Amino acid sequence: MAISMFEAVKLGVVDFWVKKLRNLITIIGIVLGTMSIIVILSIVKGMQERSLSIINEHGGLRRIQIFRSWSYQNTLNLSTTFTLREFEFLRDNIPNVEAITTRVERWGRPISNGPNLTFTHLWGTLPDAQIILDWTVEEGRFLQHLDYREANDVIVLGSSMREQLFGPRNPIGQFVTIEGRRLQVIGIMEHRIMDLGNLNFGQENPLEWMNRISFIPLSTMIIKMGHGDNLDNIDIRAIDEKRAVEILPVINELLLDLRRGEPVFQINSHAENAQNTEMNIMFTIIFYFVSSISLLVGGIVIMNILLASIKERTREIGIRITVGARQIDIFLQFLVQAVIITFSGGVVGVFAAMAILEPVAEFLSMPTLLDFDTVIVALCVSVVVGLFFGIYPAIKASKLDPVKALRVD
Amino acid sequence: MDSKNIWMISLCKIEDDMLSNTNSGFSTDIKHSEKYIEPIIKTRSLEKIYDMGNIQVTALKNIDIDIYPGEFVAIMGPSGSGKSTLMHILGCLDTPTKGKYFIDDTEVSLMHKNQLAKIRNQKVGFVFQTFNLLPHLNVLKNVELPLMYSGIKSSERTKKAKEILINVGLEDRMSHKPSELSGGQRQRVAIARAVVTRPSIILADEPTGNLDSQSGNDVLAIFKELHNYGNTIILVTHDTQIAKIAQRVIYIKDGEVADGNFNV
Repeated sequence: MAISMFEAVKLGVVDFWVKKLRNLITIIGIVLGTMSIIVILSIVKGMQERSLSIINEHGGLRRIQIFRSWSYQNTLNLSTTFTLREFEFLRDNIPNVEAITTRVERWGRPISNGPNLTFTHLWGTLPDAQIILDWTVEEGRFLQHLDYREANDVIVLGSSMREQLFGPRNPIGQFVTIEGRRLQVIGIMEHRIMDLGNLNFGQENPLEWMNRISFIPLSTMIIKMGHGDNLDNIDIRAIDEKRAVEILPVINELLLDLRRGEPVFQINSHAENAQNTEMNIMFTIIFYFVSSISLLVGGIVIMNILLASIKERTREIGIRITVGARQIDIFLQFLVQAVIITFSGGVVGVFAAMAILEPVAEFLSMPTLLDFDTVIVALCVSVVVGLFFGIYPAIKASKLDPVKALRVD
Repeated sequence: MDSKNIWMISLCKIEDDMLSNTNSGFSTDIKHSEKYIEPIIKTRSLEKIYDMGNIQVTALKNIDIDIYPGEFVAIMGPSGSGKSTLMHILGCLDTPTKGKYFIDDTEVSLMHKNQLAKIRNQKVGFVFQTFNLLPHLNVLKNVELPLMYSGIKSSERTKKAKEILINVGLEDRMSHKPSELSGGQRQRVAIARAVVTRPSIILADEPTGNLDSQSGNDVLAIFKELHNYGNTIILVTHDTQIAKIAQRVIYIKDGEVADGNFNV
């Protein structure tokens, strides 16, 4: 025959309303606490989201890159690039690979189609490059195995190259000249753009360099255009994110084996990098600690107010016990009231956070992301604070002696 | 339902007894049927000692009282005689230090706190000198309060509380706060609250002490009416005029029963 939770909540709401001004002042600490939790979580999530979106624009978490280690001092005169045979050896021996490619690249090569001349970032590469870069073709097609096998004189242009060379004209089937060699345009890549709002590091589009790439078959680059098979790097896409981490030691073994055990090359794994950004947890913990202190202070204030209100309401408690309230009923009434106070503080905190999030993001020039989970976490924390700091006053209220309580004025 | 039936309690046994007594020429005075009926309230060697650190104060000793269903009893005594303490023990607000206390032949002095709460809720109605209404609740909500702790659902509570308020003539004051009522009206609200769970015992502690004589008489009239409908009334007072409406007076002095059948 205890009062139901519903009754306790109803009582709590009425009690809250009776002392609304005092309660509103009381919840300020909780408001600030939940507000700072939400702001901090939103900043952390915004940063995670941004780094994830950068990673996704660069091939996702399954991408692994192998290139020369900048810390390696080449005293042993070991080759810091791969030969085609070495690439093939790695391709055949690294497990769980969805796509693997390599390239010979040249920056700032003049490219023309007669009247128009511009400069391009020239890649001699393999068909798998499209998969690894996660890039779709806007018009025509990408390089294919046949192009590589036969070292065809074909070229796929980035969107900015097409714009500068052909304008609105259809470029497919047209010819361009690079280093004196005429190449037929077989495809145009989709325009790449990344919008980070005001956080684009001063660049209008951080991916513009990709739109300036021109792709030709690796074989054409090496055989016909006279670049040796000095392959600067190898790009891999693993079949899934878990395997992307698992194959790293295998790759490392193979690379060391190729260079007499010397660390000539380094491996850059997106999955590993993403894990490293989670090292920011320490930073997050400090933030949490700060907002916890404000919740702690808020909680202590609430406990104090509740103890004072119990003193004020001693007679009421006596009356309730007289008409049949059990200890648990009184306990629930005051505990639920504490939770209602902190929860309403939490709700106000959520709205306050929503209001200040935008200016804070702008001021710190940090990305923010407010999602539903964050709001739930903040509200749960406010409820827990109420439960924690409400228990002692509620026990105290429930233990009152009704005879003494009725004697109080 | 006839609204007057509200006062009726399920003490059919007594009514039958009273009926048979009347038929056989006895008066309706319950005392004469003692040998047929168990007392509703029975105390044996009840003692209450307050432990004040190094001194022990005996508030009550050797209290043996029998109160029968349907009786109207006044408890009288000078202030400090222990009558309020007795009242609190009879109302299960306090527990005796020694001795036994039975309600309906059940030993209350052995009960757990939760069971005592149930007794206060279901079997005993309390009326105080200072009314003891909750100031922030309106009249209706005040009367509903005991029903809430009985676990009765909201709509049912309102229905029952309204019925009782009609009986005490306050149907047009239901949404008023206690502060908007006169003393007499407040005490009628308090009575309504005391009887809303249909308790068989009504304990009143100086119920007219804060009222003018007119309102006091109105309140006493309600107690008489409650008594007529078979409720057991125990009224604490120091006013002999008020005690006159009781059938019997228990006189307490220095924590002891001076006379359990005092004739006013």
